[in-house]
Amino acid sequence: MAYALEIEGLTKRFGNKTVVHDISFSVEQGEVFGFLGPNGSGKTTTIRTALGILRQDAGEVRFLGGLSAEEAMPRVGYLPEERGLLRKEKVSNVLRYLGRLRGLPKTEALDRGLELLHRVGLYEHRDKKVEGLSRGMTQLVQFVASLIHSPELIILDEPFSGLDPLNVQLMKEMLAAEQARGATVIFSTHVLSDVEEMSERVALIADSRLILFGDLHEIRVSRGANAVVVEAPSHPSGLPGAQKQAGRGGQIEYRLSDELNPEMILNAYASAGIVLSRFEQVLPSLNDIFIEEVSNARQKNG
Amino acid sequence: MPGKKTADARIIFEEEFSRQIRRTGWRVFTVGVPVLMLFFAFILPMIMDRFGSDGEGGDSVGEAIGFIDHSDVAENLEPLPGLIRIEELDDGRKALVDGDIKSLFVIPDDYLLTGEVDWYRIGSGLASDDNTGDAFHNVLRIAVADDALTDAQITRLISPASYKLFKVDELGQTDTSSSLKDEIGKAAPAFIFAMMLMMSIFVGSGSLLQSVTEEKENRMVEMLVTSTSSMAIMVGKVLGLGAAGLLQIAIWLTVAAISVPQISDQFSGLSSLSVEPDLIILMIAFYFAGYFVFAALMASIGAASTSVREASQISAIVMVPAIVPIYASALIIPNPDGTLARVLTFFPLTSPTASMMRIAGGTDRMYEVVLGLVVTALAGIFLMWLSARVFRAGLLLYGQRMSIRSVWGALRQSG
Repeated sequence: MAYALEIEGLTKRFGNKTVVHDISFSVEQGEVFGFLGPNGSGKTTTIRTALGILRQDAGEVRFLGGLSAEEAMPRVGYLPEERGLLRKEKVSNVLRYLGRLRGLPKTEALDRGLELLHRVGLYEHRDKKVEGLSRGMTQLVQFVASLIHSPELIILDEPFSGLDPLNVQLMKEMLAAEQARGATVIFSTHVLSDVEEMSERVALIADSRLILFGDLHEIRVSRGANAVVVEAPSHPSGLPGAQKQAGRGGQIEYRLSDELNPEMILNAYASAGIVLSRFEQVLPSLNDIFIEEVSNARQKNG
Repeated sequence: MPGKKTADARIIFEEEFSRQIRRTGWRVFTVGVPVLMLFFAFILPMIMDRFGSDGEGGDSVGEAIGFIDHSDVAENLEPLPGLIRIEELDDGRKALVDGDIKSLFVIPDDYLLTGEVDWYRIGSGLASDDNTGDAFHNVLRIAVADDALTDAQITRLISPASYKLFKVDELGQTDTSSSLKDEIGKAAPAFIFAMMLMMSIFVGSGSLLQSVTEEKENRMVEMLVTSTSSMAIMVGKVLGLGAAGLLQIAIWLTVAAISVPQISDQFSGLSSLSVEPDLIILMIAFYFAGYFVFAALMASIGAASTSVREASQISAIVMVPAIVPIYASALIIPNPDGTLARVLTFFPLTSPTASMMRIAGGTDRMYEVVLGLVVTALAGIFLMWLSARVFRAGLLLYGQRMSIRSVWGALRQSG
């Protein structure tokens, strides 16, 4: 398997505080990978350390089939979490500058920058100074800068934060196009719906440690069903466990627990003589897994 | 990947250079200094022609002077251009009012005994600043000497000596002679160069401080360090802004080269101004060496600071030593090989300006100046290397309060 990024035992300390603790995961080439974690869990420090902005205290990082960060950088696009560009410069000049630093000739850097500005709807702002743009616009320009050299690996730290839904959708479409081109996309977030929508594989960190890594569907299956959805003309009373109305009138979701399993639910409906039109075991959502894993990790770490 | 680093440094150099010369502050400063030069070259002489005087001529008294002689001391005085003999005081006052003469001098009959002369003048201004007083002194010298002295003796009475200087070294050898004017002519450019050097170094390194601090403050630096090495960033920035500073000096020197010949006609002292090629080479060498030292320090301060304001406050501590030789010029120029001058020559922060001051003072130890240049250049190279590390380490200090300990810790972490 060819990996776009392999992290092994990565550890980073600031003084006596360990902010990234022995983290290992790998990202396959051509996939969109979600890097999850609550605020302050160490996502940004992990990314910065992996990219060589910070020096790791232990561990190894390999890019694009075994390259060091320095060797791989011309083929990597990076959107930092903390946004900012040269405020007094024109948008087109900034893109030309960053494009050149990523290996494009002067004219090509400008042309490619303008082409991408077209795609994000900012072409008419090309001669404006960065300080004249809104925060969302600046973020889009920075996003454009990370794609300007058609990188093989795109690393985005909280790319959707602060953007309106239209721009979030635009960015997702552009990332899908990048994936279709063959690029690998890694993005960090704490917005779980974005990960469920875009990624097949994820890594979850909490309190500086990796607590979950792998295929999202497999993770959910491995957890087993945690609820049952039943659709019927009426519902029996007296079933234990949490219940909630799931969507339309005839549908109910039973939360499974030690006191309530799918067989007990089926028996209850059969005893009451109610004919079921739907009986479906539901896998846990990423949200459920996230909350459970992060809570467990916090309890474990005190 | 040395090839990529060199190419990146060149890109950063081009961008920084072009950004710097587009800055309003740089343009105003670059144009402002020559405008001042041109003011002194053309406008000031015109003003002085209109309001000033040129009373130094030997065969004329300059602006018209009237005199009334009651003592007969000037009875046989031959007519001099601009000197008007007047008989009556009322006629003299009228000539003053009409503007025919600038001053009226009345020599009383007991002049030879008392030396007292009445001086009538119009308008405001100090009499001590009025050159007609000196001009009439010469008239009186000629008048008193009368036929007792030859013309040559009278000339020497008025202008007793023009000194020719010979320097004797420790072995008793005498070097080439020069005049006082020559000495001033050689000293003045070195002094002016020292001022220009200081200004340009300050502008260049100050811009670097601003550039680094802003890029750190607006997080642009994270985009840069993932594009190229911190050394390429630092080298590109320092050379780009340094080249802009050199362009500034080149513009100033060009304007000076054009304007000094113009101004020298107006000011006799400037006619002897001479700029040796050695001095220009030394100045450029000191510019680079000094600029590297200050730029590296400024970049380090910018990288380790959390805001532009904090960086500006700290940078003032570094700037002060560079000004010391300018303030101490009254001590260095008269004694260019004294202990103070020699110590300041070997301290990288003061070496560029102190060395120029020593040259202005006519140092006999040029080898020390060259050695000071080497020390400054080596310090510049070392500080550049260090600043690249601090620049990298500065990334670790986002939002942290700066202390020596935190910078040291960040330096170790940055590798």
